[in-house]
Amino acid sequence: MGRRSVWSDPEVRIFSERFFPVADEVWRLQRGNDAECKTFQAMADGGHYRGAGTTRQGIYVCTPAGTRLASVNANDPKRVLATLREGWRAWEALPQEERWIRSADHLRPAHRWEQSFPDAGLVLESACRDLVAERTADERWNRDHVWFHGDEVALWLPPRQADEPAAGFEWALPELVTLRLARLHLVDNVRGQSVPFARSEIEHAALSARVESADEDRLELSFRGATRAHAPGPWQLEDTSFKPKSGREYVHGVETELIGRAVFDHAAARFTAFELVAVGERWGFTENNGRRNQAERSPVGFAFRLAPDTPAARVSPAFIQVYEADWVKRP
Amino acid sequence: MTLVLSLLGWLALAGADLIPGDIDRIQTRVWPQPTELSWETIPWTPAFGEGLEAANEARKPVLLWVMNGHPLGCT
Repeated sequence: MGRRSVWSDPEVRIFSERFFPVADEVWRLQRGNDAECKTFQAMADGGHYRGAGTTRQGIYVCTPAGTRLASVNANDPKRVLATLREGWRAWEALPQEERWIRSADHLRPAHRWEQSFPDAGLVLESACRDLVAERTADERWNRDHVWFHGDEVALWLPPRQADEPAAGFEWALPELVTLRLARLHLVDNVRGQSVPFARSEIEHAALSARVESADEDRLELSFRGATRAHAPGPWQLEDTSFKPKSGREYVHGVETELIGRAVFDHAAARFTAFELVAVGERWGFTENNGRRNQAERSPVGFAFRLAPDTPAARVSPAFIQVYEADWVKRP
Repeated sequence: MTLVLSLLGWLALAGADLIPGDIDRIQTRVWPQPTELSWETIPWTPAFGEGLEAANEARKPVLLWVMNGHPLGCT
């Protein structure tokens, strides 16, 4: 995995301290029309990928004013280090007046999914990984984030009609919760970004909750459930960026069992602990999820927990544009 | 589920539903180890435009890393 091999290299890490590190998703930047995207395109289009319409993913050294100094797309730390050195030399040779910007107002994005970050909501980080018997050094895994708006947090709690629920009270979590998980987050992204499931492709999605203990300060909950999603082929969703290229159909699916626990603090009106795991099997492949040679069923695991309060944890869920939620600000 | 259980001998769940004790064991297996998170120890600013502005204030050149799928999220 490139992000592991490059950024764990000691020389790359030491040399990279000379720069201000910035990371972003390239699909919007290379296609968008706002000032932030246009600045990126002007910087990147003459870089290592010069062909029109091709991806601009990679590593760039540029000035704060948006002038490219060096670029590469490589998983080899030596090539990345050489690019960083080339960029640094170009930076040192650059006159001061060409380095800086006087105002960054023109860099404000017209739309980013992160503008919908649910500050008062439930924000989870997730990981998925192939479950093989022995852990290996180069094992693949992936991460994502899961968002529930502040108004949706209550969907994880006992229904309003259940006044002062006592230990042992059980209920089924609503469809909004189970479908968001089954369609958009229990997805085989382990080896690369897959596609979300349509509602019609969810054969089963159930998650029940139980009050384990309750007092005036907090609720301790447990969760248990199961999901099965199967996409038989024809694209069932709208024309999103995930839609496979014309005419291509992919059979794929994920089946899981879930278990979890959480603590809700009444005074803080938020979860102070949240752990949910799922184990099951995935099968098939999609356009970019790296499973073409592994279409047979194989075991996969998922884990969800409260996201830390860091800038990186505010990155939007991969499939945010398919969230069925009116609080998500759309382009 | 049989296949999962056979491969996850450490879970020792043969034929049984998941139990609360499995939560920790599954998390231990699924969450990345520190050695798998080297890039997350670099203090990336997760947006290009915001990063240019912050680099300008920090008086440093920009190291920009962009991927299909956010490098700090699902790629």
